[in-house]
Amino acid sequence: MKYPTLNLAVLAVLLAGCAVDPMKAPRSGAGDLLLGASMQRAIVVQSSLYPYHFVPDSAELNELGVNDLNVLAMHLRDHAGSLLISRGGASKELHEARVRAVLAALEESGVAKTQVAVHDGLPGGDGLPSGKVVDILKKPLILTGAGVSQTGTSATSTTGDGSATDATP
Amino acid sequence: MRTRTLALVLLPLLAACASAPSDPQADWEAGAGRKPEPDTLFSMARIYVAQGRDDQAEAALREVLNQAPDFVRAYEELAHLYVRRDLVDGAVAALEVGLKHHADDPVLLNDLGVCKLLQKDPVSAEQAFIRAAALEPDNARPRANLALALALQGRDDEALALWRQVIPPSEATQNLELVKQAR
Repeated sequence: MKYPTLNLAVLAVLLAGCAVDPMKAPRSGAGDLLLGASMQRAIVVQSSLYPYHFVPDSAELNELGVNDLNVLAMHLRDHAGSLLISRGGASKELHEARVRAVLAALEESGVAKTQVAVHDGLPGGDGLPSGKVVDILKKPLILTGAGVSQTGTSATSTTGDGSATDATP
Repeated sequence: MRTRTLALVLLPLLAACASAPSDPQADWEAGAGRKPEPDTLFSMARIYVAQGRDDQAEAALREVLNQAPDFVRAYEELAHLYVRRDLVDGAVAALEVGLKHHADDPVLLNDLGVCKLLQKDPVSAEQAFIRAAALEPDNARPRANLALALALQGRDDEALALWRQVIPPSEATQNLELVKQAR
């Protein structure tokens, strides 16, 4: 045999071909590995949750919300970043409940509570009401100011520009 | 030497995949009175569709589903056939029956969402696309369709954000402008 490995590979492919049912081949909806990676990257780059991620008029995440939040949690477990929870047309109470639900889900996914700080942020443009930004910090938050040196595990503050709270290790 | 041994082991396995030798005349006679299998009928239906023989395609697909109600691709094909003939209600009915058999089929859900959009019901479409996108998170299609359903409801910021996950920002903005003009 001049190319034994090649011959074996051809045989293995033929053998595998016998087992495949053509009617069960992936249909047009099937994604692939590259597309999946690209979609996850897009979710992480946006780092936002919108009303469509929730069951209508409820604080419960729907299937897509759970899926996208899992992608974000995987990233946020190891990287600092912030997560916008857009209010959309939701009432203040509903929006607050959604923020709490997201924080609980993040904690369940392994993003430690001590690494999470919430503040109001991102006043919207046309048609985009302000949302909540959840900052994920690599280390417990340290606040410093004139005559103040304080270490805390989490902080709630109100800022107008929505920029991430500075975390100094 | 080891390679040759491996090949010798694999060859009988390969041979086992091939059908056993039989008498061609006896096979012919046995098969003559038999009804076509669902796979065969489905292939015939697709040929009819390609030839524009929609009535025969529909009959073949219905027969596939009579014989094999779990044959999910037949529901999909039947719905496509109905949409092409402008029978959107029929397509929705076919897809809903299919979803009774395969509740978590992302393709049927995505198609149902498209039909709901055609019926000018973007709220129901949104729910179908959300489920399809969740079941197939790596697929951009249901997400892009969900963006359209949201844009048609005037939820522009959400639609734009979703489109920007799957297409370049300039095209996302262009899509939104088109929908704004259309609604």
